[in-house]
Amino acid sequence: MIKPFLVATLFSLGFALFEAAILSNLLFLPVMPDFLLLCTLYFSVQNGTLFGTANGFMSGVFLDFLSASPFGLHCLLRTVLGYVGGRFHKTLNIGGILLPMLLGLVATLLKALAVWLISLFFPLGIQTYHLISARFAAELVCNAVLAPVTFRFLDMFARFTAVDMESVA
Amino acid sequence: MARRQFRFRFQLPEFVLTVLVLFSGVMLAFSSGGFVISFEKIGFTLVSSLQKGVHAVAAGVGNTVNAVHELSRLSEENAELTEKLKNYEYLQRTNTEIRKENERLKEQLRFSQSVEQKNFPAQIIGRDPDGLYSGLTINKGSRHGIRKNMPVIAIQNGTVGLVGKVVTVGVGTSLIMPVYDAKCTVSGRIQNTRDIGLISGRGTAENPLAMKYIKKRVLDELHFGDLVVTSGESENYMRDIPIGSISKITVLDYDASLNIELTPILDFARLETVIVTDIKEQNPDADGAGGAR
Repeated sequence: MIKPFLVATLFSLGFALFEAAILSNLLFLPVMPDFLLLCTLYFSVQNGTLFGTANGFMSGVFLDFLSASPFGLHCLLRTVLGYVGGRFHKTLNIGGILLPMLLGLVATLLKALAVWLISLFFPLGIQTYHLISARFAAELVCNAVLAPVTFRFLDMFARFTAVDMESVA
Repeated sequence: MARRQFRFRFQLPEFVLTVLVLFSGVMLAFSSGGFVISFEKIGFTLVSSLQKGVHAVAAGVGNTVNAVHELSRLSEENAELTEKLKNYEYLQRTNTEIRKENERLKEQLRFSQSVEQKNFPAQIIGRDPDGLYSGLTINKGSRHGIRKNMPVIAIQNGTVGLVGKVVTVGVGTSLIMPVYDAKCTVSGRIQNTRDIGLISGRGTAENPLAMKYIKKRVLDELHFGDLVVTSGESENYMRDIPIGSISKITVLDYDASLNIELTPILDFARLETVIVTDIKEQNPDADGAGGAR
């Protein structure tokens, strides 16, 4: 359990740095794809609620350090999303194309909903998504399209990140 | 017929979820309430230093690839240029371009020296990975003398403009909140009429800035393109630094103030270098600051 968790955390850190140091400087991108969300989704569906919760928290910590958002926002958001994703462990097949796309789409919608819910409890300084906006639509499409690719990429390292190899096979 | 029952049991995952959610909630409560926690600074230092490293490696790889590409391109160009060498007009044009670039660089250097306050030129190494927020990470931190809340300006095409202020300082990196961030508010003054209002961002660099609390009675004196500068009254920013120009004025019947939209003076998409200023200390290299030069 510890080793897969550490490897998954390293992947999250890698994606966080990739987003912050490289993707953020590509100004022609209309929106930033949320690779960390897709990672958390993958690891939580692959390994269950405990793993998903812990990995969501760690990816949130990395993002909070790199972002101008209030510290703790992403921790809270991604911990909950990791837990929700973990509830679908051994229920959903994350192979193929359509289901990962759907997962990426739903996770992005859930993220927007969760940010709005959090903003109700912490009204100071928390920005919410405008659901009817080109920007959010672009992020939805971006995450949905990149989900199968990201899942396929993480599949290559499944033997290092899966707690129970049966769930991978 | 047996009915399937949904039973929720509080086990280890739920316990961990509760602990982490509570922890995150407490952090968020402190953070959004304006409480400064050193834990955030330590974390920012660690992770943004890694970010700096990745940026350096990526830039290095990029430069190497570009260098190889540039080499092959230059090789082809060299053959072409040998033939075109006789073309004096072409050479003259190239010469002019180089001179312009040289002037631009000199301009930046002169500007840094001309600022009265002590200042720290820095390079933007990353932007906010979260679409909801808009921080800019620079390659200078407390080790170089940067402190929280220092104002940040930049020069672009000969125009000086306000970038924002420093919100988080790491050892070798810092995070800037730009003026277009939804949380950023700056006290500004319309240069022609000298009226003071509050300027706030709308989250993205593409959206115009909003200026509020300008009375309706000055409507006739305002013109599109009028410059808005920092007022300097709150002592957070130097005075008379251009922020933007008036692009739209809306009059609402139920509001005693005008709704003014500003186009930022700087093109943030093209911003590469900034100058962090320390308004409490004089620039030892400043023109006319006796002794240093």
